[in-house]
Amino acid sequence: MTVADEQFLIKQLGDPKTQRKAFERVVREYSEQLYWQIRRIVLSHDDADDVLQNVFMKAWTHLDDFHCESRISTWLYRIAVNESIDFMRRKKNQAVLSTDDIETGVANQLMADNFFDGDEAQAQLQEAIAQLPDVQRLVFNLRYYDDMKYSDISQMLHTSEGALKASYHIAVKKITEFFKQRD
Amino acid sequence: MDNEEKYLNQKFGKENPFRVPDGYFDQLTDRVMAQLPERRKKSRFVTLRPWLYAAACVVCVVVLGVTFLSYPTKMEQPENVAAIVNNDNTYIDEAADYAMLDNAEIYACLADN
Repeated sequence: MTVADEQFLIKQLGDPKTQRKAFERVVREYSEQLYWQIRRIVLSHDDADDVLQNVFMKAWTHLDDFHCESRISTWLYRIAVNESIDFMRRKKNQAVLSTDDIETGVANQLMADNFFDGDEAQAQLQEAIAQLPDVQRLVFNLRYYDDMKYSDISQMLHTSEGALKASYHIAVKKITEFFKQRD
Repeated sequence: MDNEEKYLNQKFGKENPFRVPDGYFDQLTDRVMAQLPERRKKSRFVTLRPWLYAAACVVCVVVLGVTFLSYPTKMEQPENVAAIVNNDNTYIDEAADYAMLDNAEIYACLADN
């Protein structure tokens, strides 16, 4: 989307007469990118679908809070990241009560998931990523899979580029150690 | 890219291992839009709220300003007290003249008592 397109879209989002149509365009434009962002954090398709619906619901109800300081994509990514992390925290708390997920493990759950095409090693990689703290996990996914620039991640997560580089470096080190211990 | 990143890249690549049900993204926009409620129009109070806050602040400043200016200042009080003291001194001086006493006689009288 060009800068002019985005400006026009923002203008339409601010007008009650055109905002629903404009928001539909936003959903069409960004839903797939947001879905993959969320899916890499929550891992299951059903959970990613639920979180994505919540992200758009939140963006729609808080449309007045969107000020033009950031791009629409950055604003939506930020909501998606927060919603995904909240979702995982709630899930973790429930898992502590039920202990089912802890016994099964992320890799085993993924191997049993119909919407996971990876092999055993890929599932292990996802398990290693899932064990990282929130910020390291986010930075690793955004850099490793999406090749996103540190400057863009910095805007999204409100963290300095230096801190993000350090987080990515530590994340890579931890994942490598995870596999070297198993080899 | 450092050695550890190369190790991960060679071992796993960067391919996305996840997939979605067939046609998921084709229906996604319609599904999302169908769930969105109608946006409530902002009430007049919400729209005018910043202006109302500003007006309230101006009123407070004016009331405080008027109160402050109309209240007697501390500088005025010592002058009044001094005037009263001066009046007292004048009265004592007049009384001393009338009794034909000077200060030394008054002090002597007070010392005797």
